[in-house]
Amino acid sequence: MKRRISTPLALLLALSMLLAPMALAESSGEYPISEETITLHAVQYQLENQQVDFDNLWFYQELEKKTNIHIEFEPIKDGDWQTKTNLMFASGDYPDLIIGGANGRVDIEEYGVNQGILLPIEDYIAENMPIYSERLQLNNANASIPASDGHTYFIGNLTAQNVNHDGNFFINKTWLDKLGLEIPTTVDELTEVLRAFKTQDPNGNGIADEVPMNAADLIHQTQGVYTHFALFGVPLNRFVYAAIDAQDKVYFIGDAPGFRDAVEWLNLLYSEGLMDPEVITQDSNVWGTKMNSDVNGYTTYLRLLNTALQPEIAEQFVSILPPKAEGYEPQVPEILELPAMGAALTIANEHVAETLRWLDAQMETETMMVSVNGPLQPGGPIEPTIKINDSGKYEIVSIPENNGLYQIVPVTHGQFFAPGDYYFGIYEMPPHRVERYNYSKEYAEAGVLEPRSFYYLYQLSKPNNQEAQELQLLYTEIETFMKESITAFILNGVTDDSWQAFKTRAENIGVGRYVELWQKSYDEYLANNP
Amino acid sequence: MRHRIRTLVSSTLFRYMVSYAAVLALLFCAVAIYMNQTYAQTIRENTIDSNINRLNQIRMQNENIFSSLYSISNQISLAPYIRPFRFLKTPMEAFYLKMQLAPYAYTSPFVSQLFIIFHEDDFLYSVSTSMSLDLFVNELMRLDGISPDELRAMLRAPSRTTILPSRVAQSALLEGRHERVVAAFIPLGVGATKNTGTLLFLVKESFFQQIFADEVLEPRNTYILYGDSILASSQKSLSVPEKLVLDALSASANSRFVSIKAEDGRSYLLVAQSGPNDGMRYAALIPEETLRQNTLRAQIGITLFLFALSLPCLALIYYLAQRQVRPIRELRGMFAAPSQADDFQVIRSGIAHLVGQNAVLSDHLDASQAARKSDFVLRFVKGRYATRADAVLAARRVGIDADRGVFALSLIAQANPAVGLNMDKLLSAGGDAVSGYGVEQQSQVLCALFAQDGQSIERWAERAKAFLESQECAPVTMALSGISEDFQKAAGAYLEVCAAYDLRFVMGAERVLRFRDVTTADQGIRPIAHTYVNGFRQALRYGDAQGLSDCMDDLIRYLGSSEMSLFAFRMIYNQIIGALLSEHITRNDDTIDALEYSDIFTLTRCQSIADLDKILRKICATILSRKKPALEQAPPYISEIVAAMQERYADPNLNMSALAELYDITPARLSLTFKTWMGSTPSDYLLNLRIEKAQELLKATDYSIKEICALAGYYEPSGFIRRFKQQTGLTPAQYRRRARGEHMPCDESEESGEA
Repeated sequence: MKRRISTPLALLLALSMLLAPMALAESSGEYPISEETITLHAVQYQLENQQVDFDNLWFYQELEKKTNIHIEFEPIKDGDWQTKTNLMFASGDYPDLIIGGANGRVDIEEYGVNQGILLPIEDYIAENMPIYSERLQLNNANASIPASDGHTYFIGNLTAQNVNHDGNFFINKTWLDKLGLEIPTTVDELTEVLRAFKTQDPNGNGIADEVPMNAADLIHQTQGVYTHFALFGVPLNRFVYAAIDAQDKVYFIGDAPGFRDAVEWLNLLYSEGLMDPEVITQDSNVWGTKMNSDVNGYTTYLRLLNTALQPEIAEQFVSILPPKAEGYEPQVPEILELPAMGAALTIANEHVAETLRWLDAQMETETMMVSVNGPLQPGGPIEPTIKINDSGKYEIVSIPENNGLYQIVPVTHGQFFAPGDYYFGIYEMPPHRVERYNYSKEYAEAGVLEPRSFYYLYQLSKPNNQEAQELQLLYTEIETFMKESITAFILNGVTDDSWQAFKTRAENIGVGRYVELWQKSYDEYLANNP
Repeated sequence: MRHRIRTLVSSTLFRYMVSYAAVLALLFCAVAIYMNQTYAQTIRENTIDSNINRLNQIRMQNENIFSSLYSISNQISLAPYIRPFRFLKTPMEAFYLKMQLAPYAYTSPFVSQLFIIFHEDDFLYSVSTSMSLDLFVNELMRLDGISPDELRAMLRAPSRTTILPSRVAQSALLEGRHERVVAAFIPLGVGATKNTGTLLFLVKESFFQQIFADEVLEPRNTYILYGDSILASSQKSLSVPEKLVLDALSASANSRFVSIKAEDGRSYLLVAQSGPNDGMRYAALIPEETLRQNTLRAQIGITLFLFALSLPCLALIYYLAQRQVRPIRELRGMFAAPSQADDFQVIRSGIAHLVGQNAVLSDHLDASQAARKSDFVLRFVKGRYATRADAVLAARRVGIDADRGVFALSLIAQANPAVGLNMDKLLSAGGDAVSGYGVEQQSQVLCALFAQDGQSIERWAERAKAFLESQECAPVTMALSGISEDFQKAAGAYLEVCAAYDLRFVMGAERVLRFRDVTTADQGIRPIAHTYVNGFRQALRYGDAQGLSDCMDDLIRYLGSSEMSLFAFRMIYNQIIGALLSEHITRNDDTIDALEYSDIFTLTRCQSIADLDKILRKICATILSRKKPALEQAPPYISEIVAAMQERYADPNLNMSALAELYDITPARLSLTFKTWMGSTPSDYLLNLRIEKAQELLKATDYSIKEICALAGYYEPSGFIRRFKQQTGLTPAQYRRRARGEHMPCDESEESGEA
């Protein structure tokens, strides 16, 4: 921020500060936002398979009556979103604001930082968006919003589940009980249990059809083979083949100390037939089918409730902490729930304050819940779909079929900003959300998550254009290399030679440079966000 | 109403219109019948053709789909990196295979799913996953109507291509969990011998629906058949059981179309097209109803078109008929007739009437011809035609050719007035040389004769006389006037012929009495007459009533004193009257006086001197009374010039140009005006004046001729003598002697050059 303020301006500033509280008082919940009807032109993201008449949406009409702000919507479907927004930026004919909702994104770095088409709004938020500002403080919600130049170019959209990891470890408790085994806490114990699963017919059908451990797809972050590297302190993920240690040092995942041991263990499982040989190639559909045939005893997954798993299968499994490998502390890849671009203003906007106030009006809890779930009060276009239960939390009553909700309220097309702590406070989470929340709490408390979420690289570090391009090229090579190498190790085992070859190959590909770039970006981030 | 209809029907316009319209109607009917006959056939053929075309299009697009599948399988078969393996042995191959399948699966837009299985292996692979064959056939892929064993068998079948007609597939591997797909099992490997595996392609039925998507508004089912089942069909707009279609098609393997009758009685047309050797057939089902409607529409169309065309045609018919009828109407309009009558009838009767009238008129015309000819002759003789041309024209109008050169008059005695004379026969007595006509007057026939020359008339006279005498068997008196070219002398000719006729008393009727013969006797008479004529002329010229009276007295005295023969009297009389008439009574003057005194017939009744006196006085009085007022109206310079001439006549230098200049007019104008008012040109007037003065001098004095000549205003005596003789007929010496009553010598040669 520039600090060249002259004396008269300082006086003016002082004056305005005196008046600010009044303005604040006025803006917080004071409607209409403007005496005269203001018309704003908005580009609106639209899901590909939804037909929505934004101009006549009940929600926006009610909002307009309240705020006296009229929006002219220009809906763009997902398939055209990238192309049309790029064209729109190139044409010079900018809308007043871009509404991305839960899914519509624009390249903040390119159009905000580089081209200066998006309007930096950090100076206006505090004054005009009190509700939103307050929530920004929760759960590090503001972390990912500022761009590489430190400016805020968008209002966040966040539906937090208060979760911190994807791949959760599950074991078939029924089988354990059947076989009188304890829940394994170490890798060795786990291996024994798996062996027992294989040989002792825990599903009791008299056929040795058990495949103790199953996984879907090599790389998937919920049930892929990669998730099992965590046991050896290797937080392997497919988004960035790198991690940050406790000293804020970025390192190549292949350089993790437990990497070799991890692949050796997996190879052991494979050779002994304790792991489904198809884990390398099968997708989640095949995995799901197999899981549902009651032949598997151990896997990673997102959760048990409300999934592809049949209930009778799901109830056999329990969540466990990742078993420790000898000499290692488990490091499960951590995910951060970061707001995406809900709405952004362009430099064409002449009513910045009013626009932000209009957005803030949608952040107000009741409005926001109605916006996503449907009417609360009777007398609306349909019967209320949500209610406030006895605990004072919002609860879903019904979900109109055929996506009928989209014809009345924005649902995921509109504004929603609910960081985890806030959201859990106002919303009656469905059981499956609660389930993951509990797992997250447990894992966090047990300290089995990686020291620094890879999201700090994946989402929060903002390399510049050139760096980003280079990183992308390196990443593509590294991914192909890693997939092949890990597959080979799992299927064929590790020899010193093959290990050495692996290392050499990695170097040749350029993991050094890769790490260097990420480190630089991360350092910058740290510098900007102490 | 009936009356009106009858009027209408009988109207010619109506008849014309009806006939044209009949022709047109016949033509239209013929066209309409022909078109209707051919339409049904044409539309049917057109429908079949257009459907065949469409089926061809569909065939091409269908072949497109399948050829892309075959193409992929060929490529995969030929791809060096895709080789059969056993998963459990070399699972790494599976990892690579998945990656290698990706481009093939995404090349074709039609392929929804692609699975590969090697015969030596028990696993299937797609781009996204691997699965065991057992899991696949038992759980992961459910094809409607295909049991897992059948599915397994198809996947394992060596070198056999199977295409399953569209059916529902239920699979977690599919996007929508279940979809309608066409499954194609295509053997993998190069050639039949090297079949290493099978490729299973799933193509969404929606792609086939897209091929059919060009449906028009008409109801139509389209089918793609493979073998003897329906591979895919369009959304059925016609509910015809497939079995019916299949049966019909198998029954008619090669024909382009076949008719089907459904259970509910509706008939359909099935148009079929075969693909080349690939077992595919294409068919379109169209209800006959549609064809019928199309035909009907076309027929209605052509009918309306003809109908629309007939309107301008009717207008044209009306126009043409009007044009045809117009001349007929005009003709009919010329005849007055009751309006109901038929046009042609009216015209016919009108013409008949006219023809009758014409005959009647012709008769009248013939009858009047004679009267008109007579009328012409009388007018001619009376001198009523101002010019020769008028006389010739009038003659031509009555059928007489007067334009021949000379004319003469003839008087013939009519012995028996009661018996009419055959004028034609009489005239033709001279052959064609003579033309003319004769008027019966009391006991005479006055003939006017026109011929090329005098001899023709003479010849005619002789022959005519002979003819008449042969008829009468008695002598006939015929008199002939002098032959003259100048038609103005017709009145004079009458006088001549009368004179000649009077010779009959002396000559009898033996010969044609010619005036020529008569005139030889008038040698001495002419100069006398001439003198008196001159005197009258001069007196009249000056409007001198007294002088005129003196002259008349003089004449009467002379006639009374000299013992003149009747003939001579008549001669003098003729000459005087003739001269006066010709100079003073105009030809076209129809006043009562003029008529009476220019009527030669009246004048020829003069038999005595007393008669002559009376007539002359009357004529002169009439002439005088005319002249006086006329003279008073003359421009002033006329009398002044006259006075000047009377004063200075003796001056030989007096000439017209000088006079004209004096009065600021041209000599020509002067001459013309002078002649108009004074009756003669100024030079003539002056000449006469001089001659008169000379005459006075000759009479009253003894001056020599030479002296008198000078006094009269002449330079040259010979000129003077010549002029004098010209005017008076006598030389100055002769005049002197005459005037003094001396005997005239017979030899005039003594007169010349007497000093």
